[in-house]
Amino acid sequence: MSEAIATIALAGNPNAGKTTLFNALTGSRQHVGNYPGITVEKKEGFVDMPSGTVRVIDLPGTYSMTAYSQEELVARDFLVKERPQGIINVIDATSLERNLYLTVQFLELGIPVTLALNMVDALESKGIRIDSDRLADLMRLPVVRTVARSGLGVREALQAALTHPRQSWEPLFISYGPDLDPVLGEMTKLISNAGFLADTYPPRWLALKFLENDLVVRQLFEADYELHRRLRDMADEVARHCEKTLKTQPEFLIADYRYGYISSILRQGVLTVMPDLQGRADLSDKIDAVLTHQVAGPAIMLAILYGLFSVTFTLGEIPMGWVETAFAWLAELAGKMPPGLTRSLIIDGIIAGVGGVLGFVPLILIMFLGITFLEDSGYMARMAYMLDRVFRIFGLHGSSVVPFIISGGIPGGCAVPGVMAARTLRSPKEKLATLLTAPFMACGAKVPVFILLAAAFFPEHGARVMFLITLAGWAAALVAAKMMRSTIIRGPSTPFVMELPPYRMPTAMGLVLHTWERGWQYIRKAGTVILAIAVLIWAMMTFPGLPQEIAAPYEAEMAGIQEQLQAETGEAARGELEASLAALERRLKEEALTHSLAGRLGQAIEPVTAWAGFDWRTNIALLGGIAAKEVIVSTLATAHSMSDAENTDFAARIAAAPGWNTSVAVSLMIFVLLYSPCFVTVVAIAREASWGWAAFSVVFNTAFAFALATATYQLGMSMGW
Amino acid sequence: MFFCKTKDTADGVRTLNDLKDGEKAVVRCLSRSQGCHLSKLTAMGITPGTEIEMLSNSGGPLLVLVRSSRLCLCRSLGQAVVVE
Ligand SMILES: Nc1nc2c(ncn2[C@@H]2O[C@H](COP(=O)(O)OP(=O)(O)OP(=O)(O)O)[C@@H](O)[C@H]2O)c(=O)[nH]1
Ligand SMILES: [Mg+2]
Repeated sequence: MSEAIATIALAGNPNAGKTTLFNALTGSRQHVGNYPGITVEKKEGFVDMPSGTVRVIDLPGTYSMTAYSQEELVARDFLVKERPQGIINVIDATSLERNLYLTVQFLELGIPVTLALNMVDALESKGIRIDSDRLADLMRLPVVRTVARSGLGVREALQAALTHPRQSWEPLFISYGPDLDPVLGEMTKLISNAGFLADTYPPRWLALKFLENDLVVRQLFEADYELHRRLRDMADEVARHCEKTLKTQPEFLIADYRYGYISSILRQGVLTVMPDLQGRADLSDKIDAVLTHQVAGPAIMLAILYGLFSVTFTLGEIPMGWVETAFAWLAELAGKMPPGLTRSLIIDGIIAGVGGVLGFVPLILIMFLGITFLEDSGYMARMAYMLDRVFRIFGLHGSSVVPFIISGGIPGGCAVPGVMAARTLRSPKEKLATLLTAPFMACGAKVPVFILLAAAFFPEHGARVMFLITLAGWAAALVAAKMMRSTIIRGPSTPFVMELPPYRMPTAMGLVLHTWERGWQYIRKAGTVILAIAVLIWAMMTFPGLPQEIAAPYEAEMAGIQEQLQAETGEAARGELEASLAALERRLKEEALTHSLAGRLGQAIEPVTAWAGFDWRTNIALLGGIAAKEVIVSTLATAHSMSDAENTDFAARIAAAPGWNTSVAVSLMIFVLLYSPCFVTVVAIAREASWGWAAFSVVFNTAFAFALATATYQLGMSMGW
Repeated sequence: MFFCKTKDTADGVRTLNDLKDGEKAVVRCLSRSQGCHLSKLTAMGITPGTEIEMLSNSGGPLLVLVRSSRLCLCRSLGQAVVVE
């Protein structure tokens, strides 16, 4: 990347369209969705402008500059530590007043701000008119009207930020009235005399944050004991004063003056609201009256979920058949190679392994399309709202719903972004409980296992099985959360507040792009990580090879039959001979697999796993699944293709395999759903919480899953399923 | 503009939780019982003097319309918002 001439950050309220604007500018495909808090990490991109290359940073959304949760801290830290040349403050024009609250704080920090008045396409239907020139005059900053979704005005916004009239940082001064101004002045003088953090924060901003009880800023001051003490005394004093004379707290007074400053600007002809078009006529409210209805709402939610699966399975079956045929053809082609290690690697390792995963791509894509629709339309936020009531009982709250959904609460998600989404939870206890239980959801990598087992043991009922598995994931997560919240992470529940975005009709283009983006990630993973692991596991299942003294008798017997076969001419006798030859071959393969490293490992733990009905072959797959869940299906495929010569359908092969029955299948589905998170998720948990908790999640989840699987299997067997 | 002590909210005072569906009211003050979580409410637009409309209040979390955005908040926060 060539040297960037400037860094411009995109900042603003959650769900204002920052990432959409970022994508429109840079041509990248970062995740966009219609609910607050999608972006939790900063993302970087480069844009070629006439004057040179510009580095653009997409930041997580924030409501204020007081850091409430971790992703808000990411945004603030970036601004003060990296000091970009300027920011484009992306504003949801339909809620201008609230959005400007943050703008004022940016201005107080001193960053050159360019306003991107986004979503101006939605203004008319809401009966709102904004005079952007007047706004620009009054606030003395560039204002550009944008529709990020169609790319309108986005380059102009960047251009305006580059040619901002103010090229250096310069804090805005707002008066906070006769009660606060004097003390603010004194505190500011004290801080600037001490030269405290002079090169990162304006002194008055620090003083304001101190009065606002910003914990992070107060902690900063602890470095200077004397200064901290004096500031604290002043802050306490003015707090007492405010309480006595105004019955208020400095932080509310500050908020009040900020909103006052904003409305004094908006009142000067900037914002016109046509009252006849406002209010109850809003379409979102009408939809909500039905979709979030107290009784109908949850019923509709379940119906939507169920409908999603039915559609997925009905539609997905056809293209899935094509992909399977394609891989069968490939395997046949490779079968023409001379027998040996290379052929085994290609057929049993690569084609069976990667093909086992890729075969599910059509289904996964349809599922992704469904999730993307729910996410872009704004329905996901409503699910959080409706489920808050239930979640509260289990010691979580509504904000936990979104991490769950992203993790696979609607099958097809992934626990890694899900775990990261838990950042938006402010309270550490709920966050931890969410982090540890989100991996229970049916992520896209586990889905193939369920589909496979459903096809083998519950043919015709795929959608229903998937639906039940999904509910089981939610139920297990809630129960486990409750267990943790009443033991190791006990504590009162913290308050919860979230913005509900308006319903938006997702654009066809957006749906296709997001679905493809997710699908492509899945495919790419199958072609890289999963391929590597599949080859590794194939090697473990192949080596060490069978020692000669075991293999020799088989080979001798097989050679004998071959000879007889050459001599024999009778139809019936030939058939018999061929059958016994195939059986021998199978036994030889089985013997070899048993003898391999993976086979021995699987057998070593079989005495324990047998309680839950898992044989040593399944154990290999489950061990591999800790690396990545896709590996479970690919390893099962490899294990069964290596010990099975007949080239029938994979599902049929599993159903016919010795030691498999309905109880085993159900027990395995439960275990796969719940056991240890995959490696990448474990790392993500460690990053969000600690390595201790990450280790805990491996042990706890596996134990929890094993207990449930064992109970299911034993019950199933006693019922004779 | 006012901030009330917990005892002021004890009885006879209406909070957000008492509003019925479709009812409008003006925020009078925020009671301190919820501590710093209230500053998030102010950042999201619930400040004394703002008009607030209850969209749905049916035992679970509240759904309100404030400064033309829809907020969903739990009842313990609703309890802290005194309205008139
Ligand atoms: N009508 C309309 N919708 C838009 C526009 N720009 C973005 N959107 C939609 O607004 C929603 C939020 O967009 P995002 O880009 O994810 O918002 P964000 O600011 O990055 O949100 P966070 O990452 O959560 O802070 C999406 O559903 C977009 O499709 C616009 O100009 N007009
Ligand atoms: Mg974003």
